[in-house]
Amino acid sequence: MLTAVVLAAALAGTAPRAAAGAPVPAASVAPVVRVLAVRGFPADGGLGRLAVGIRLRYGGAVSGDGGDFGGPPLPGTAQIPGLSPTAGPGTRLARSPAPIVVTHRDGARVLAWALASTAAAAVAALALAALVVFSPRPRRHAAARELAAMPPGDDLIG
Amino acid sequence: MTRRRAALTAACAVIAAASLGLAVQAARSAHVQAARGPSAAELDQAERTAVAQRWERLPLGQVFPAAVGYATAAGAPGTATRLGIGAGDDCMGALDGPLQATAASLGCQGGLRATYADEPGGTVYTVGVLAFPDDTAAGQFAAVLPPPSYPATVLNALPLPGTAAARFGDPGRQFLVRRVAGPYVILAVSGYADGRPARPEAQPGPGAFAAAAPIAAAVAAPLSRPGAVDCADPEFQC
Repeated sequence: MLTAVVLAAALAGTAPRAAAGAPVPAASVAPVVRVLAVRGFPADGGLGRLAVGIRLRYGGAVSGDGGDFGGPPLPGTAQIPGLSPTAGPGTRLARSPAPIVVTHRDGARVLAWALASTAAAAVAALALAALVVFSPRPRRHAAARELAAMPPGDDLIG
Repeated sequence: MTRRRAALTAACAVIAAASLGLAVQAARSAHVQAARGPSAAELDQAERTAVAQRWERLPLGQVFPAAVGYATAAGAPGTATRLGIGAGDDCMGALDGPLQATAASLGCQGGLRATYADEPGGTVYTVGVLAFPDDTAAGQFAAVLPPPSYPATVLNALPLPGTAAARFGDPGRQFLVRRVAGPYVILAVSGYADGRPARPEAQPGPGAFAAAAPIAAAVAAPLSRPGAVDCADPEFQC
């Protein structure tokens, strides 16, 4: 799909010139469009890093707009206006790279230890509660037993 | 009754103490695991990962230095200048056809190219960086490269319109330099700026392309330089 778009753009820049009577050699035949390479599609879909090599060949001399009309073939690829075959020195290919994970922690093990700790703490709490319940209470003093045995209100009379 | 109660009490005390101890120990283990720093093996692995990813993390201008010093065959110093950096970054576009499948099978991740010219501007050099996942893959690829031959092959020339290398194409490749640096294979093909094709009867001497090896070395150095892991650097996640 993208190749078709690029080809259409390239043809649009050259074919009208030939149709309008631009100097096309007699030996010229139908234009042969040779796609040398379509490479470097960036992940972000931008066209900035698209490197496309297209040579338009008419069989004679080299046209003024960079189309190849024959003669010694231009080495390499012709430039498409708006698309640079080069990248700037400040370009990073990974524009927002994820950080490199250094420490690989075992999350399952952390969770297991945390659960074990929680369970052990719960058991300890139950055991402490039982300890409080079952621990022997101090025997009451005789006076306290007498007071406890009095009918309500009697302890206030004396 | 009292004895039974005392036994129960003692049992509860023992269970409570043991459970408390277990809870503290388990909490400590969880904390140690969650808050531990990187181990030596993890640091080593992260360093190797950082080197292997450097080709896409470094600005291209640092991968391909703007100027590289060299010495001519006569011993005179010179400076090769970078003419441009190719926009493509795939291995297939950088390599000759027969090697593309090999590079792909070894996991070639990227192919970068830039073109330089020597100080007088008479010879031009396309240097390419092929990034592999690890040192082993890079070594295996270097091992299957064809022996040095004339004309040079392997790396596609990168002509740059409007520069001294405008006419440097694959037929003009005269000389190849290869170098393995960690997970990278550095290749440099040389030719003449006038684009003359390589002809066996006009094979140049070994000193004709004196800047090739220094350019390859200058490109290899920042890529393969071992780097320490810095947990304060956002590039790393400790």
